[in-house]
Amino acid sequence: MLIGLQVVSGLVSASILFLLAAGLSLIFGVCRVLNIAHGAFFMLATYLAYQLPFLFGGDSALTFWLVLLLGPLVLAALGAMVEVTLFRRIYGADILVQLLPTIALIFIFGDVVRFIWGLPSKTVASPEQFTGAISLMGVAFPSYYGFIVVAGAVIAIGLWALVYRTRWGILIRAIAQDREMSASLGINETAIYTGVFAIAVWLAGVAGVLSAPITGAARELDVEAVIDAFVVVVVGGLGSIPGSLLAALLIGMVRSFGILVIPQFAMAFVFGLMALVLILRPTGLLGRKER
Amino acid sequence: MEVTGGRRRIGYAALILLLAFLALLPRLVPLVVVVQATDVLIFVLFSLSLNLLIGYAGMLSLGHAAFFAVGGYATGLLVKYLGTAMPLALVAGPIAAGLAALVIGFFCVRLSHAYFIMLTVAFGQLIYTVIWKWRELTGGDDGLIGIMPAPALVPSSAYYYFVLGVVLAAIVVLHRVGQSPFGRALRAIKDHPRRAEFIGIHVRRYQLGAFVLAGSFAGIAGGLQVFFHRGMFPNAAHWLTSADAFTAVVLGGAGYFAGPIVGATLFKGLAIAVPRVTEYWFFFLGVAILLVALGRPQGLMSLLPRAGGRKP
Amino acid sequence: MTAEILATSKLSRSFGGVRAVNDVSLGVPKGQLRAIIGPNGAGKTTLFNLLTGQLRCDAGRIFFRGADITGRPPHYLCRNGLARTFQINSVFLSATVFENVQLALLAHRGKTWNPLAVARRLMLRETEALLERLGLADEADKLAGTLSYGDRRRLEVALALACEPELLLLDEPTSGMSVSEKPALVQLIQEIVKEKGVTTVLIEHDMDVVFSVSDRITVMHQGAVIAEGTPDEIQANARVQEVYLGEERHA
Repeated sequence: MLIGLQVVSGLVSASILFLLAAGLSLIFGVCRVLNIAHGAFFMLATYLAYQLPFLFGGDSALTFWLVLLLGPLVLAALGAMVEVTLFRRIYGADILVQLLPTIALIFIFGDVVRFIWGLPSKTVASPEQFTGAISLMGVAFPSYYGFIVVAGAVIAIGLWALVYRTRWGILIRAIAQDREMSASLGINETAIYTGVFAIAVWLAGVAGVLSAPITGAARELDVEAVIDAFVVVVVGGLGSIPGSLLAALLIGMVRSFGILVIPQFAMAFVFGLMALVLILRPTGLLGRKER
Repeated sequence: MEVTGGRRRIGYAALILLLAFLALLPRLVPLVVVVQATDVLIFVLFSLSLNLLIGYAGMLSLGHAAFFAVGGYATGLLVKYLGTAMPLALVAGPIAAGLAALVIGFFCVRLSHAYFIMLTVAFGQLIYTVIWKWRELTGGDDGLIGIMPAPALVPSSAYYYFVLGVVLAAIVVLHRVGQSPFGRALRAIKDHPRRAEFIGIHVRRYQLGAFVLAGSFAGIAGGLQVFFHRGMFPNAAHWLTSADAFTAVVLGGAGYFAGPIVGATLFKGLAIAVPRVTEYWFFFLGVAILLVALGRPQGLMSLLPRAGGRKP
Repeated sequence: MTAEILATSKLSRSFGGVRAVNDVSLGVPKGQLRAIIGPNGAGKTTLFNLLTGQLRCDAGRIFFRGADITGRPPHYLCRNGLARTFQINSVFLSATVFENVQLALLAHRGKTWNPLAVARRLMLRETEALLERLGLADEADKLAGTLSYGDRRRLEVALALACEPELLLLDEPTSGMSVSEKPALVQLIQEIVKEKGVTTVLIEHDMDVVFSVSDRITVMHQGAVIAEGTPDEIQANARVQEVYLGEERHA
């Protein structure tokens, strides 16, 4: 059942894409900054996924869970630090000025990674507990794929609950919708921005750790990942998390099946989809409509 | 807001000195430096073309290298497969790049700001991937090689003069465009897009026009590059190449016509000097960009006491 | 209908569940100075936004000089005889007063698509004339961003006039101006529109201005037109008074 495998593959892609895009969307929707460096955080996470197991002394069954727990948290802490020292200074600035630190971060992270881990990319072992294959509805696929899809779904639900069912979620939605209003309501935006940024980077961190066994740890991932996130967000609508989910599923599937048709250039289908959306619904499938 | 007479005379004198220096360069410095200067000139043109978008129209494109590469590859492919003579092949560069810009721009200008930036990056990478994967046509990452300039222009100093001539001509044209009604309209769009709409300017169309014009000039630079390096590789379309030009523009100052010229020269100078000290060029670059962003976002040209005249 | 330069038919627009403009049908004859008044939130600016193509209509049609212009974009309208000023100053802050007006004149004549002419040498006399007429000649070389508020409002009007409009939509042209500055601008606007025969539709909160310059007044409330008539008729209208009770009886 080749189609079945492609569906699973598409879902795996979708999971990762969603995690990336949701974070990007959050930062843009709330902090109003386009974080081009988002892919660089993702890339860092893949290297953390490579390195952390050594700190935990090799491959016990626990290692993977520890990496999955700690890796994104470490990254989130880094993200918070970056937000406080850097991004805080550029909120509200000219969009050109806002772009610069994000570009700078990409360069800096790239060379820091190179300094620590060298030029060649690294392979990351699949987690012990997921090395086999499982079978569902007559389709056989690596169990790790199943885990990624489940993890993605769980986080999507958790994120939805956070944004739509908690007080904090109401606050960030208020800020995203109407900046002046929330300022006049006395909401402590500074702390919230840091929180949002940290969560967004955490999401990128999870994406990175989950991807690492599949993609390895490589410096080129920074640009690839952020472009993936861009495409999802353009199709789904910037600032819309449901949009990111819908678009991630769509693109994951298109990419997966595209590989069946033109293995060399599945990207063409994704861009075709994006072009279509741009013509029919420029602000994205679920984006906020202008006019 | 005219520059005073005295300052203007100094400005002209400096310009004449600079031109004289450039004209005499091959006699003043070793050949290696002449080759580097050629490289700088091409990069200056590329950066100036980008500033038509950033500085004038306020369109932040991070995928401009796509047009540089399309121009270069178009020129190179004509030479390689059709044996086209150099002048004709060079003309094809901006035409191909302009067409690519028309198609890509059509999609990108439909949206603004963050979306626009994202799309330019995405399309830039699309072009890179197409060039890289289409091995049969472009040679993939083995590159398009063996593209020789016309025999008279093979010597380094001869090619240098050729590039100098083309780039100076392009600078004159770009400067004129900046002063033109079209240039003013672009600046108005950057300043207040809604008001521009309400004095009768079809904003989308003008933005597309700027995109195509900028892409075409990048295509000229690409054509010059392919003969300069005797070939081209996919990395000419890579995001990093776009980021280089973007950095050059910002370093020098997007708000000044000469900004990209200063920025591009400085950038190339650093690109030669820094690797002698450390292999971590990108770290250095990142820190430099941060310093500019946090310290002097208007760029280096803003340090001069309005000697360059008002904003472009 | 044919003598009307502007006509709308059942124009409607909603935001969320709220009807900002509700079934508005009006007609403005050529040469008239019409004021649109109403409490805040009555839908006046939204109406303008619909007329100028900035917002899409949910329903209804708009006719200008007899032709259906519903859905036409702003830049098209401005090249074809319709101009607008904004309540919040919309001028090009980074350019000088002269350049602002010059560009508007160039754009109107379709000369801005030219990438090779030297802009600063074009339309000099026309620009000077317009600046002179609006009392801005002395400020010509100042950056628009450094102008006094009152002068910026004048520049706003100048930009609209540069489009040689047959229909001029003024959205609170004197808003924010001091009591001493207002009469001069109001008088100037009145003179110019009479001079050039420009039909003018004016949103205004200052009732003294409204009653002194308007030929006819349309009153809006909660998106709908509730009254229309001469200044005397409107002043005497009970419904209008009811709506305005406690609101704009002052300058």
